[in-house]
Amino acid sequence: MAEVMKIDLGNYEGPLFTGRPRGKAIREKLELDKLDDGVNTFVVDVPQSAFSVTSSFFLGLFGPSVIKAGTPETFFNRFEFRAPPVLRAAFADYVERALQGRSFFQHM
Amino acid sequence: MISMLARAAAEPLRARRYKLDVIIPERFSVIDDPTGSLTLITGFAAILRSSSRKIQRIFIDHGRLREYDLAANGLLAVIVSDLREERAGGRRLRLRGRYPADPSVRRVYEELAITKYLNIETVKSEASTEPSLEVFDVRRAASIEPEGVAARYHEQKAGEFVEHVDRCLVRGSNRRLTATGKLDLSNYVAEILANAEDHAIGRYGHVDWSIQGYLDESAKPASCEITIFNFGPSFAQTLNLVPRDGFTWIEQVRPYLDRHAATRNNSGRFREEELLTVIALQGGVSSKNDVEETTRGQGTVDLIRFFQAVHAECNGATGCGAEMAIISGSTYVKFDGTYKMEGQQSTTSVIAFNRGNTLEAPPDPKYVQSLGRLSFPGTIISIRFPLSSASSRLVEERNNGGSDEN
Repeated sequence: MAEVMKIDLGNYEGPLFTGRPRGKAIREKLELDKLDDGVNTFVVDVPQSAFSVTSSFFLGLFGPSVIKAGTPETFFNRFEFRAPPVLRAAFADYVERALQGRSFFQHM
Repeated sequence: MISMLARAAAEPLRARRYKLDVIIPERFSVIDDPTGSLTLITGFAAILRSSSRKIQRIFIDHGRLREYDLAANGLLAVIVSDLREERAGGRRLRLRGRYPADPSVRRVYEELAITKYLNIETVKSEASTEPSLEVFDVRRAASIEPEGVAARYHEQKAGEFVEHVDRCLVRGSNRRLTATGKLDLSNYVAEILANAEDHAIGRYGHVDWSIQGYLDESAKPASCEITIFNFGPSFAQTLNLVPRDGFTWIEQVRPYLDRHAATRNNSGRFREEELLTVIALQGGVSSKNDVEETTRGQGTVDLIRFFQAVHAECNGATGCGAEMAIISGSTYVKFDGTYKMEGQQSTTSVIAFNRGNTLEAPPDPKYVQSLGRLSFPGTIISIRFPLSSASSRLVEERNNGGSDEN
C-alpha cells in the first residue's frame, strides 16, 4: 500500500545544503533507494532558515529518484517540496537540467 | 605548495646573494594579465626552491601597482605564508615591503594578508573618511574530511562567506542580499569549493584551497571581488583520466577533440588541454559520469550562470565591469559577457565561446588561450563585478519586504 513519507532536512545542519557526497550520504541514511519504489510518495520539508540547496546536494539526494521518475511532472508528483519559493524554483531547474540529454554531437 | 608552483615556472626570479627584491609591476592581475602575473608568482616560488640560494631577506615592492586582483595577491600571500612556516625555528627570514603609492589601491592593500606578513608600517591618513574593507580570507590545507551527513568544512565556509557579504552590505549601505542573491552566490562558491575537494581527494588525499573576497561599498560603483584557487589536478587533467570506453569520453570529449585538435589559432593550433578545459565547462560533463543516465556535471552551470546573472545586472552593457577568469593548468578562459551559456534543444547547457554557440565550431582563441610554458598547478576562478546601487535581483534595500522573501 502506498505511503506518504516525510523527509525533514531540518534534521541536518543548515542553512546551506551543499555537496553531492553529503546529499548521497543522506539518501543512504534514509534508505531512499529502497523506499522510492514508484508507489510511495514523499513530503520534503526544507527549513525556512535554509538559504541554499545546491544542485549537487539536491541531485546527490534525489538524483536517482529523478532519473527513475523520468519526467519532472512524475518526480514532483512523487516528491512534494515544502520550501521557500526561491528554493522550489531552483529545484524545478535542477530536475529539468538533470533530465536533459548529454550528447552534444551528431555522430559523423 | 611552493614546490608545486616552482615546478610550474618558466624561469625563476633572480636574487642577489641572500636578498630577493620582488618588484610588483603596475598591473598584477590574474584576470587581466595571467601571463605576467603567473610568471612572477611561479618565478618567485622557483627562486625560493632553488638549491643554490638560501634567501634571508625578501622585499616585496608594491609601489608601482595600479591594477590588481585578489587572485594574484592571494597567491603571493600563500607563498609567503608557507615560507614563514617552513622557516619557523630555522634559518632567519626577514620580510619587508612597500605599499602601493596609489591611495585607492593602498586602501585595499592595507587589508590584504600579504601586507600583514611584510611588516609594513601603517600610517592611515587622518583625513580618510572611507570605511576600511573587510576581506574574507580562508585557506584549507589539510587531509580530506570523511564524507557523511554532517556539513563539511568547505560547506560551512561557503555559508560564512555569503553571510560576510550580507553583513558588508548592511554595514555599508543598509542593503542586503535578496533570497535569490544568497542562493546564487552560495551556489557559486559552494560548487567551486566542492569541486576542489571532490576532485583533489581521489588523486592526492589532500586538499589545498583558498577563498578570498571583499565588498567595496566606497567604490563607485560598489564592487565585489571573489577569488577561489585550489592546488590539485586541472580540469583537463581530471577529464583526461576518464575511461576511454565510458560515456564521457566517447560521447562528449572525443568528438570535440576530433573536430578541433587540428584547428589553427593565434598560437598555432589548439592543444588538447584547451579543448578539454572547454568541454569540462559544459553542463552534464563530469569525470565521474560513466553512463548517460547520471545527474552529475551541473556545478559549472551554476558558476557560469552566476556570472551571467551579475553581468546582466549591468543591463548586459559591454564594459560594465563584470569579468570572470578561469585558469586551470596552462589554459586561460575569459568571461566578459561576450559569450553566454545557453540551454539547447533538449540537451544540456552549452558555452562554446563562438558566435553560433556550437561545439561543432572551435572556440574563440581570444577567450580560450594557452599560457604556453606557464601553468598553474590547479585551478583559479576569479570574478569581480559591480553591485547596482538600486535594488535588483541580487541586492535590495533592507527595509524592502522583498518579492522573493523566504
